[in-house]
Amino acid sequence: MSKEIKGSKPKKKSQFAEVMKRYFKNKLAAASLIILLILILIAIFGPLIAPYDYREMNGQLMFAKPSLEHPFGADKMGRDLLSRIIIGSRFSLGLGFLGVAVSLVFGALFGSIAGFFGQVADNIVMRVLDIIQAIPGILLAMTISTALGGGFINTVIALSVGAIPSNARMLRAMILAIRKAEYVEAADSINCSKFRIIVKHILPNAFSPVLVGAAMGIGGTIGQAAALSFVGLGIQPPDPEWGALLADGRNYITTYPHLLIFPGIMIGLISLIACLIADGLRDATDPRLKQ
Amino acid sequence: MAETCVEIKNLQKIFDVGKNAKLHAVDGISLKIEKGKTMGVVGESGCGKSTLGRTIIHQHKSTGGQIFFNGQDVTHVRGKELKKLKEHMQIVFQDPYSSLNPRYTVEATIKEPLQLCKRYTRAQVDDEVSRLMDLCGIDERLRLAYPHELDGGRRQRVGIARALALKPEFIVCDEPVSALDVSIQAQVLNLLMDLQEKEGLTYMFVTHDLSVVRHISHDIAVMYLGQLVETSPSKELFVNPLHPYTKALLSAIPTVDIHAPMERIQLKGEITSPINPKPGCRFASRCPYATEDCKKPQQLEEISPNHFVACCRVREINNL
Amino acid sequence: MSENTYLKVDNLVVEYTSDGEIVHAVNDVSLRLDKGKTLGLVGETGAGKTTIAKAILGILPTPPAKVRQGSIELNGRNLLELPEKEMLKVRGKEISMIFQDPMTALNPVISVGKQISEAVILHENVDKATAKKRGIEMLEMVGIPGSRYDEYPHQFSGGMKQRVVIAMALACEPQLLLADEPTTALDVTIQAQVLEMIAELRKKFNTSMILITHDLGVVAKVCDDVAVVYAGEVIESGSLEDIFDHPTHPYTVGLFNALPKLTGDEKRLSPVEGLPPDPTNLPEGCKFSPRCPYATEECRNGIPKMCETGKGHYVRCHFATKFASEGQGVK
Repeated sequence: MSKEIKGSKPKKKSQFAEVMKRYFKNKLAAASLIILLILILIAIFGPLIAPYDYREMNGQLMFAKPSLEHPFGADKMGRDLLSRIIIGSRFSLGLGFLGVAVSLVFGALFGSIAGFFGQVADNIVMRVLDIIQAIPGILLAMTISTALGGGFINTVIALSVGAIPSNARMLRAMILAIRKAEYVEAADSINCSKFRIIVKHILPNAFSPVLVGAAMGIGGTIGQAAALSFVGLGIQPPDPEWGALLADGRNYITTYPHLLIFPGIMIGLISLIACLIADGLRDATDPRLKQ
Repeated sequence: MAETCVEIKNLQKIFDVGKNAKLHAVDGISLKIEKGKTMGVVGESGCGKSTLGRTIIHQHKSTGGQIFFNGQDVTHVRGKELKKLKEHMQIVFQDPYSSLNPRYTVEATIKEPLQLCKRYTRAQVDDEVSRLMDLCGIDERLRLAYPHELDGGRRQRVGIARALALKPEFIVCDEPVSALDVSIQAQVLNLLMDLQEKEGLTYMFVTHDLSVVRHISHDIAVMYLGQLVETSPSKELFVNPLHPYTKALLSAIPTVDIHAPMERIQLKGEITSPINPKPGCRFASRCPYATEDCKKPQQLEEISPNHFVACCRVREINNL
Repeated sequence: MSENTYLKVDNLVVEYTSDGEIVHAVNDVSLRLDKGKTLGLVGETGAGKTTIAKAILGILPTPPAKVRQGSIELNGRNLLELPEKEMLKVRGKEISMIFQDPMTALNPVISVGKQISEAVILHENVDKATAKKRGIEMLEMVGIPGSRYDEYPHQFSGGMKQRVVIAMALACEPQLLLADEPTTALDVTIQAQVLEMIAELRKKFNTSMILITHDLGVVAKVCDDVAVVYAGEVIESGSLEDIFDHPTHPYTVGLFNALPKLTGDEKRLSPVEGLPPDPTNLPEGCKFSPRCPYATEECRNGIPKMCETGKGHYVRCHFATKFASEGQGVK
């Protein structure tokens, strides 16, 4: 083909590289991601890193204040709190992120069905979700947990179901707005399949608020996991899940505040960085915000 | 007689908008569009002109009447045949801000139809994208630009390139320049006319802007509330409008000639609702010439060669 | 200028800061408006027309906007030096604005009649009954039956909503009306009705008006004077006849040539090539020089001054006198 090309063809960069470049321009998001990676590494290698056995009770150390040997102190049974938090991160990070991820995936699925196909499908899906949403989240989680029994996977399911309706609802609203856009009609006119229209044209433009909303739920999910442990469901002692550590420490808030403070800081930290990462991802994947 | 590209007979598109409420967006329209020519469709907002274009290219399913494409009845095609047909009939949208996916680069937007139609190998797709960009006057440098980085005129060029990718014969242009500034509007209009000449395209040009439609169209159809009130060759319509609505419409255009006397025909009221319309002339409630006879259904009648008017009093009003 | 000058804008400069970049929205704009006259501000999207109007009304969002210099004198008072408290009284009472989009200018949960009478109560010392009476009067004046006083915006069509907006703007009989693309969202037949209505009402109240539009046809029908705005500068101003019969600046000429005509037979339009400049990065010298077919070194280096080519006809171009005497092929 002979033709005059005005200007030179710009060099192609992979989309992933471009998103990463934009993501790391956001200092807060970058720092959050690094902290998260460190936390994940700690969780993976927990048993190797933990200075003591998290189950080992030591009568002399009961309620020990933070010291050089035991930087976070020890709990009512004299177990090293740092070790318990390190091991607990395996449960808490897993529950928090997996729980949110599962609710996000199913929320996206139901939201897409309701938003895109509309009418009958919309009515059925949304009414079912209404029923789920009518039950208080913690009650629902307890019911499911009782029915399925304890264990990690069952707890993830129990925690995620309650968050599905709000994710689905938010996505459905976004889809309803976007499916009327002319670029969706344009996609149809060039014979895009329905599936491709949803995946390539609608979801990428509808997903970011849902993603950020879900990330904000991570702290809450860890809290709910604690509530489950508290009533004897979900993760069971002696496995130290952060929420459970926090619940334990609650009783000693005036006398031994370190039992409350350290798990509390960890839960707050993870909630905060989850939100910052989600914010950063949303901005990085949106080409409109490119500088 | 030139070849006919698209012909519609008594085409209907009625939307159900509630219990016993039917919106007659397109109500019994017959038109013939010749190959390589432009049919302008004008009318006020809500008159069904956009729906007409979208029904012809099967973006909406018609509820009555027939659509012929190159002589074949394509009203009820489905499946593979429908896909083939849609490749031949494309659309350029009004709003260059919402007609491009904000997450698609220029290249991705133009590439998508090329990949979906499976006519090209990978290397050919790249070449074809370059050819289309060149054809539509988009600089190669903008290949990886996102829509928000482009101005309205360039975005509209990308939309045109996307529509041309499947090598269509017939393109519905739905107000393609109404969102653009005057100086840019002229660039895009010129592009559309050049493309018509080079590629032998047939256009249906839907707009509310009468000076634009006069410039680009060979024939013009005037719509009012889902029905045709007048069709005629473009020049003739502006010199000799016959239907009272067309006359009022033309007299309302503000021209840049400050010395031309302003003789606007006053219209009472506003366009009424197209939901469950009564039989008879739909313009009658605003028409200064309305009589009892206007309550009967109106037929298009050929008053002079190729000049059709749907008005029972057209001869009286115009002293013919 | 004449003693009748009601609004005097001098050397207005407005900048926006966004993301550390400075957007030069309005650069050294001067305008004159006589009592009871209409000035048309013509220009393309982003030329700074709306920013000028907002600066006059004192509703620029600050920050990010900032008036760098200049004065806006209304009846001899500099509005830019007026404290916000005084400005509140000016706004709505002396100056009021009609926005482009009637759909968003009305509050959807308050009846249209009430929205009009609220405006009256806010600015005039009247009781509710009088305000309501005025509201009904205003509705009828814009051709809407007073019986629809208690209806809500969604019950009105686009054209009627715009008329309600106009009724609201005129309720306190302002001295100056700023109309920002008042008919752009309307159909031609409705546009004609609304323009005629505005003209009648203005005559009745002797209101001055600044009409902002990109539609030269509307300007031709409504305005007495015209100022053409390009990249935040007035590049040509004068009476309607000056601009429409003797356009002199190459940009003005280009605009007229780019319009499809209702008469005549030209096959191709003559667009103004290129794009308006990026307001964060304006060209040196004449802002139009990158798109101007006549541009020379002189144009690219030196900012041209306003040059009076005829009485009251000003052109910002190095070759203004040459173009004015020779003319350039306006079709």
